[in-house]
Amino acid sequence: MTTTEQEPVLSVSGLTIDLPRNADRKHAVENISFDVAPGEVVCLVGESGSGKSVIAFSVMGLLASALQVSRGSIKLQGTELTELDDDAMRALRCTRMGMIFQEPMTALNPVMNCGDQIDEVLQEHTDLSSAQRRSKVLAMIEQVHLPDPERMYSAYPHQLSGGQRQRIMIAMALILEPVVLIADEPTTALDVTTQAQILQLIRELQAERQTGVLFITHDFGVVAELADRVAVLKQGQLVEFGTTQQVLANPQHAYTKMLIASVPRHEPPVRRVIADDAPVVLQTENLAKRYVSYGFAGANNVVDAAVDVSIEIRRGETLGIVGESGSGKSTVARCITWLIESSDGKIWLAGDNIAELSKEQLRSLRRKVQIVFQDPYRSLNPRRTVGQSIIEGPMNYGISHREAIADARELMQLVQLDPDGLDRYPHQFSGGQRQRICIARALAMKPDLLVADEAVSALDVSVQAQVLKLLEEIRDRMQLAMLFITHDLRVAAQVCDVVAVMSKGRVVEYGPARELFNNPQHEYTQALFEAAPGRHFEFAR
Amino acid sequence: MSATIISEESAESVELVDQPSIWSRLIRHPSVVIGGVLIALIVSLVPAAPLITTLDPTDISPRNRNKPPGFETVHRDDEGTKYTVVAHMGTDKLGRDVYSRVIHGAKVSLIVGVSVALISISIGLFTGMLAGYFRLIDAVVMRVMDGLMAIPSILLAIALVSLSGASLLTVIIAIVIPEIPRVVRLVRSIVLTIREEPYVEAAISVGTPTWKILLRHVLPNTIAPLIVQGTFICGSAILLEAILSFLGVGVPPEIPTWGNIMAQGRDLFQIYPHSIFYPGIFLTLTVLAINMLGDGLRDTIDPRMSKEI
Amino acid sequence: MWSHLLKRVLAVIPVLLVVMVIVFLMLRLTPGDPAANIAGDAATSEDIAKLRIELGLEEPLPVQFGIYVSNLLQGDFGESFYYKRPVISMIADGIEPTLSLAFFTITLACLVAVPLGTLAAYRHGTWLDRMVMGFSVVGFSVPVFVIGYLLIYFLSVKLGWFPVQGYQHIKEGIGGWAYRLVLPSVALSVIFIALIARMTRTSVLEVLNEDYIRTARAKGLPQSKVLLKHALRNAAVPIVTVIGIAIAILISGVVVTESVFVIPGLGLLTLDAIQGRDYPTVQALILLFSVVYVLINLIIDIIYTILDPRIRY
Repeated sequence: MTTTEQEPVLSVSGLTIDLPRNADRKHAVENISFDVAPGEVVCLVGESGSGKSVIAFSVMGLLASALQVSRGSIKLQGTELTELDDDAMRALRCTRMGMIFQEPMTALNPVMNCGDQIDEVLQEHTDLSSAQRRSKVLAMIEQVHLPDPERMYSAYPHQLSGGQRQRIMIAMALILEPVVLIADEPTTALDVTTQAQILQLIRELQAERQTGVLFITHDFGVVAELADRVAVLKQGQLVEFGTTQQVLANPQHAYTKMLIASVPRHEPPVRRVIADDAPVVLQTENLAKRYVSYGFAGANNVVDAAVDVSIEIRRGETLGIVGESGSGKSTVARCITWLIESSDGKIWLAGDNIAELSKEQLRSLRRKVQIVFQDPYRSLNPRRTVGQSIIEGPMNYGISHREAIADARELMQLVQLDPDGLDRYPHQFSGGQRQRICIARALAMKPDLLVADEAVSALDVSVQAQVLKLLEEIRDRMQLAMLFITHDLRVAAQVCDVVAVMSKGRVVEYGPARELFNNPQHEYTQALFEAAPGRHFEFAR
Repeated sequence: MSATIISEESAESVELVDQPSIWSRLIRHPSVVIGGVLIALIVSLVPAAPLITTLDPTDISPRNRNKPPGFETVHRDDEGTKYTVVAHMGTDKLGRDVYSRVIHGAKVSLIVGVSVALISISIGLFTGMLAGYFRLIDAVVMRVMDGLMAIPSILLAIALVSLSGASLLTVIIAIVIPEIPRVVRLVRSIVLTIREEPYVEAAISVGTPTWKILLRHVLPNTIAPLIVQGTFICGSAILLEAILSFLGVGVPPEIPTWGNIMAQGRDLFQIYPHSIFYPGIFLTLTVLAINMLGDGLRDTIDPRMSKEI
Repeated sequence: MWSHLLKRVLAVIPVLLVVMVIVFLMLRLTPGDPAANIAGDAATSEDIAKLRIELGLEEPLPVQFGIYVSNLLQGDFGESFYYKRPVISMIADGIEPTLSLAFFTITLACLVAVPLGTLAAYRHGTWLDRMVMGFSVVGFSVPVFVIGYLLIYFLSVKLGWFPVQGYQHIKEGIGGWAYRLVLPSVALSVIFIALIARMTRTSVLEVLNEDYIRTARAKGLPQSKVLLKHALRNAAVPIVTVIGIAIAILISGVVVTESVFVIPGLGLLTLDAIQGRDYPTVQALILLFSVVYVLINLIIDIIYTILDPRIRY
């Protein structure tokens, strides 16, 4: 798709948006220029804080009032948007530019049915009769491939899945066939298989209607899958803009190179073999967790969060549990760390069946299993210093304060942080640094098994690469067994020796990472791998 | 291992700028300042009362009955010498000086407000923490609290006072009891949110015993909301005490309280409104000052709470 | 949905039971001999002994409670010591004035407060917002009897626009009935206007930050539609909750207001009963008010399910 001959539908030039005065930098974005041709997909890619969403919102005229466009122009088919008043902007929304958002869960009004929400667009911008509007809405619901349009029309958002809600959003944004669609991370909150379907849908509708798409994402896989051209943003500056092939295969700017190098590859590396006689640290046999909520007259609601999970981790080995949301992977992690009680099955820790242990023995074993959580912002008590958080555990087991602090200083160095940071509070650290602190806290217990529950999922890709490297170093240095829970196949491919794929509470495939990734047997695993975005691209192989 | 400290070069924005301290935010908040100054003035009435009034607030004087504000009342001292005192706020139907009574009345209101706030917060905090953390206790405690909540607080208080006889202590107890369920609910809801926090789970997995988790991780989160709640309880307790006295079921009528003064002024209100309006103004200002302080505290130390009423 | 409603209705039972226990124990467990308290200072010891038997205080507590509950279930609320009339007929007499006052007050409060709060949220940070918030703090703080007397003194005594005090039954003419209710309901509604306006403001403000409001704006809807159709509709649940809380406070306010304006309703009856140590009447009234509170909360729960489709399961 060549873009040079066609008049761009959207062209942004010299765009500068000011931040409020007390912010950490002066401009949200500075001197940004790019354009989108009809039928073209342009991806804005960048890490958190790069200002990519701000650009999207400024085009729609939906910027928060604290942000001001101070210079530059935004032209939609030649119309200068920065000079329009509110009413004129309003008339353009959904008619000539539509937008879809990141969180399909919250982007729809929960008390209005989906059909009415789409219908509202027609009511506002057209003079169609209510019967005409209804048939148009139903037709649109069908075009976004939702089953049973009549039922979807009257459904409330909470009755639909995330993917279905995003389809409703797309229907809403595209029903009046705008020339530009702005998509702000529309698949980030979705599972990988759903993501693939939504990307496919956007591709299909956009090609059909020759819509220009401005697609905001942080995921290079999605970029590779979808984009014709890519703009890379770093802290409000546009560092590189070119065709997808150019930028991904031959990045010019150091930052782009670093980002692309940080993307974990889909191909597992050859790993050192774990000796067969390495001691088994954790073993589960038919582990199960069932939630029962009691209803009337025996109408109990039973949810099997995990069924028949049998896994084994040896010292020095990393077992990955991979699955989509609701697959039960976190339930397994929580059962193993005794944060919840399993309802069936056995757990052996270093040969001891924990069901047969006394409370006292359990307590002393508890320290052997430690966990790092997903959200670095909530895993540390904001009112306690980093030092207090790290020494809490050892002091529970009778280590003296002095000794615990000395250990903590060493651990801070181990996780590559300044030991003097022990006296500081969590809010003084970045997300990646906090995650290092959480790792230090877990290590302070001198565990045999470290459970990482989506521990890098909330981090930017460059930080993620650093934390993954750290985890691997620590595992080797301390000869830990590691249970690595993730939804991200690439991450699993890079750090796991053995992988268990979970779906609907069950382990559907279980084996050495290289074998499993190169030759998946189960159809679910195959579908999962198939859906992973950007696999065709060289950088990700 | 090399102990090089890496600087994490990424676009993550780090809030290294420290927020202004709580104190400097407090003294800049207009409602905190206005409310605080007013409260300080009213509190200072208690020790200052004997100095700024000349008459005993309980002295009955038949010749000085129902005098309007500004009237010069005539009294005799112990030796029988006559002297006159200007009744700034008039006199009541027993000839007592309303000004003296109003100034002295601040004491009872403040005692009731502060003690009700302290007692109900302490009991509510303890009960709410237990209810939030232990399921079994929760089921029982919350049923009782629901029941207590269902009884209109004023009726509960009136009934309790009239049954056990009017005294300052029974009034305080009668106001405390209906306040407790509100505190319990607040504390319990905080505990239920905090115990789901990953940092509490992290504490569990490093083997911290439950009582330590409650003290170390849960309790500190309740302090700011409880200070705010305590302020509002103080205000509403003062109001409730005045209502009880006004209805004639509060502290004994000879004790000067704002409610009692108003109760005595009710019959002749249409002709002599002063013995209702002056204590009414003081009562309103006190409660207003406390509520303003509470509002300001909520904005500054507990922004999360401003979602609730 | 039906099972959800059934659950709600059943959940009322333990609350009512607890209320009955509390009301029952109040008489028995307060310090001192309740019979002596009820009989008053002039009573002889024989009088008190007789009263103890009459009140059934000689029986063991569980038996007393059993008798109490079984009487209640048969609709027997006891007989007034003072008037020697069945309590239930006295309550019947007082219901009309009290209901009228409550109805006027709540209607007035909602009509004023909801638009005021919505406007304040919409004009967040402007002088209008500050005025509404300022008014709401003052409204919280002025006791209802002070407002009542202020209104009476200026509007009735000085200007003569309204009757000073009293009540007129609805059957004696709707005009006079409504006219006499104006001042009491204005006085009583101030605190509710403060409460509801503030809650409306906070919940509308909160909803205005939600993603779906952004979606509505991205659709090109005008502000007025965003506000009314999307924001206010979603803010309705917390607003209704606070109206429920308001009704609980209303019951307390009614007692004071009826006393100030001399309205012969249940509030005045309660006060008379307490001053006359007419215990069966007091007990019955407290129970009645509590049941009303519980039922209103049940109704509010049902309204939730209509307002919020997520609760219907």
